[in-house]
Amino acid sequence: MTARTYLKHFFAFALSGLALIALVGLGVDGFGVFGTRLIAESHFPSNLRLSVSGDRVTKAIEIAERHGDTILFLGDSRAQHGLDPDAPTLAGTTAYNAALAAASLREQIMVLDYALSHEPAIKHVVWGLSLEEFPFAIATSGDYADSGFAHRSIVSGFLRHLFAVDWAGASLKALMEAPRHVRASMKRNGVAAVDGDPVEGPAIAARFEGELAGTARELHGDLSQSALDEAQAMFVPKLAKLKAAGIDVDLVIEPMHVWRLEFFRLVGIEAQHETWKRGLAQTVETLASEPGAGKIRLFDFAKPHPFTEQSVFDPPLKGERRYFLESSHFYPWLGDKILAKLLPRRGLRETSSFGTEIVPGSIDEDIASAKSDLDQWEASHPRDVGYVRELIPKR
Amino acid sequence: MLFTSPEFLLVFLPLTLLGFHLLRFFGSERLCVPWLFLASAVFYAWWSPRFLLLLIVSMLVNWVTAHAIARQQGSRRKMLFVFGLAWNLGILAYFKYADFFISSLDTVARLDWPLLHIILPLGISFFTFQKIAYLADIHSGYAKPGPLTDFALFVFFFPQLIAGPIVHHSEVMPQFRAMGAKPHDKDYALEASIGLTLLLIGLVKKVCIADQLAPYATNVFDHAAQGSYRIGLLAAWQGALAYTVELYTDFSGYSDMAIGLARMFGVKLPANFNSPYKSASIIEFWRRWHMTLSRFLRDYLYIPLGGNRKGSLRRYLNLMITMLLGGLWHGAGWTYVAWGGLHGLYLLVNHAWRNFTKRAVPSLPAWLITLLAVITAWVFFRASDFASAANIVEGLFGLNGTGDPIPGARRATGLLLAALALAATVILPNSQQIMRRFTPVLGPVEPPRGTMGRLVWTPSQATAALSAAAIIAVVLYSWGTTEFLYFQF
Repeated sequence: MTARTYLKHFFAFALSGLALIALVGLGVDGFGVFGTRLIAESHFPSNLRLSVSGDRVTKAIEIAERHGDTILFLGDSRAQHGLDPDAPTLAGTTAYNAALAAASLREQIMVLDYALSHEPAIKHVVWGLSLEEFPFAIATSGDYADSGFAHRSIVSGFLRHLFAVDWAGASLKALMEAPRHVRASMKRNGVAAVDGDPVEGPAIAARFEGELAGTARELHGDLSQSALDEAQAMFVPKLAKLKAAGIDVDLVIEPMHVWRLEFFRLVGIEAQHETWKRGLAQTVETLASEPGAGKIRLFDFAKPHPFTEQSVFDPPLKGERRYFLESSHFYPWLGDKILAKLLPRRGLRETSSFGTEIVPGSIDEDIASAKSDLDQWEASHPRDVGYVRELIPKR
Repeated sequence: MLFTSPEFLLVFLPLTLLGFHLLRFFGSERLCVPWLFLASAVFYAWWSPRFLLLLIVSMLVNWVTAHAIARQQGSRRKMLFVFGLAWNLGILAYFKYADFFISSLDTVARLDWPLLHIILPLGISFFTFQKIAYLADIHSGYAKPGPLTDFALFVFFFPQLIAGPIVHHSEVMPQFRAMGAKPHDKDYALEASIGLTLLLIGLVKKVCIADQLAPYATNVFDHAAQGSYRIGLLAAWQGALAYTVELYTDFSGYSDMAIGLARMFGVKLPANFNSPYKSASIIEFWRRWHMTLSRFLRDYLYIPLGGNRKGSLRRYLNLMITMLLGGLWHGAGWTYVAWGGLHGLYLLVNHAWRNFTKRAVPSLPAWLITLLAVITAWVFFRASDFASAANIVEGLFGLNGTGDPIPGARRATGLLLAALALAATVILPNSQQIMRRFTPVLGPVEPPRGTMGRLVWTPSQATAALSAAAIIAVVLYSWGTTEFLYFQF
């Protein structure tokens, strides 16, 4: 073959291959390929931290484009993964999950302001809270930097999304699965879908171990009390404004697996966790006397309960599902139980003992019972306690 | 402009090639060299127009100095050469080593002098060496200064401007002269096919291997740098092996691209790598790794220091000085000096072994020992400080046991991928060997042994399809492409 013919063949093969990838990508999952990220960076709203995260970009654009949501979910990655706007209890209403991975309270407030400025129909906010993300400043790094649109033109970003290996792979996979069903691996209503079914056996233990061991590095003692106080001080006026605007707010102390509660105890932040809960309860009590038609409620799910005590080592009991991905992130079917507690369907009475609404004066009792339940769990689960203890690195 | 970037591959390269061939088509071959110089200047200015000015001024000073040296004799000739040397080394010292010098002085004498935070001009270490070699050869009478356009392209030629191969003027300037002459007997379609294939091999190495392994290495080295993690056996091997392969595929990938791009314009460059991880001794390793740097250090540092002409002790001293300075050339940091020192030590041991015993080490243990020594030294090369390097080296030798759990590092994937990629670099023929039928580089190409000798490129439908698959893979994986590691040097 002559060199000229070789070059002709090369370009013909290469262009055909790229065209095929583009066709498959567009044909199988056009939205998945391009998502809603087709807006140049300069068009991003300036009042949300849009320069750092893919999820943040997508959600900001979705919030701006959607209409008619009456319920807004806020929070960190726990809420992002676990609270599904398609929960049965929300049937008949439209909700959007605006929670973001690693979002501190500061960033959550920023998201709230942004969402309210775009969607006046929001009448109810479900706000997932965790001690771990509460006090921190807004992180300065994220996945937007890895996005095809980071510091690039819209055409370049468009092409990069079309020809990214993960999207090409996802498109091919969807094509192969098409005879059975097509499930685009994309986020809907803001909830971050977890790929695949829950894992069992050594894999689930490894996930718990990885999460807790990682946490052990960052969370080995008291968090800065002044930072917590500062966040709390920022929180109160924001809630007061929501109340004044007639928006109901359900503050949800997010559930965690009992291993994590035990971990909190072992590394010495149990007392601080309790103080933080008391601070939230105090906030709600204070706001009760503030003007406004909105209702502010507080629910505590971060305590021992059969759902949160589910064995890591053994598979779920018959009729149960795996509730936690690892010690801090929960699956949407546990989130559904939370939503059922907060927003029971009209005509149905919620009877689950999972989670407790904190009413004036009840916080001490709630904390005491949680403590006593953890004591009992410790006594009956020495193997689990030993396992968690071993994960705490020697210092 | 990165070779892997769309603006380079889709705009700059096609336009430069088009201009080059249009000039040839219209019989203006003599304008090909200025055209390539102009394109190279644009290529550099894309990164920083300010530093383009520095490069032009430095190039002009060197060209004028070279002519002045050639016209003078005796002490004036020497003085002019010393001036040229001081000029080039002064620029390198200011931009690359000023902050290193200040911080080292601050540490030793507790002076608390503020750092200058000088931006390092891209490729300065590479083009400085080329110009020094040029002046040295003119001073020694081995070369005569040529026209400005040829010299300008010698300094600026975009395929090797940023990270080599470090070319010798005698290798490329005659080719530039021939480029401007009529008639041409080159089959440019064949040159383009060879160049394109080498470019694709380099792109695959960089985008599909180096960039994919980088996170596994970075994860371990970053955690080691935090100070609170003890790096265990598996994690240490994952980090070290991943980096060993990443560095090789990144830099040799860049060299393949440079050689391929130059070949598209009919210019042959020297080989820079020859499957270094196949080496069965450190001496052999340095004949296979970054060959053009080794050649420069040998010809313009080791031999002028006395080489092996002044006895064994002086030879070892010269070797050690050469390797320490070679380490410092790679980066303004003590870990680089330590890396150079380690290799200096390895070379001393290797030479001493050869001198004092006549016994050859069997090839398998010799290869394993060499590889282990090289991998250990890479840890110092990559680590941000000595503490983290020590942490990983301890891990490599099992002194930290299983270590602390590092998120992501305990999975076997990284270690397995790195080991497989390393095996491929040892077993498979390298790019020059694959292209050997068409003399891809200046100088001879060592033929591969055994069945691997069958892997040889010729223009065919199968190789066209393979190359197309390669470019598609590069497009799909180029999402997270990073800068070439050697850009920082």
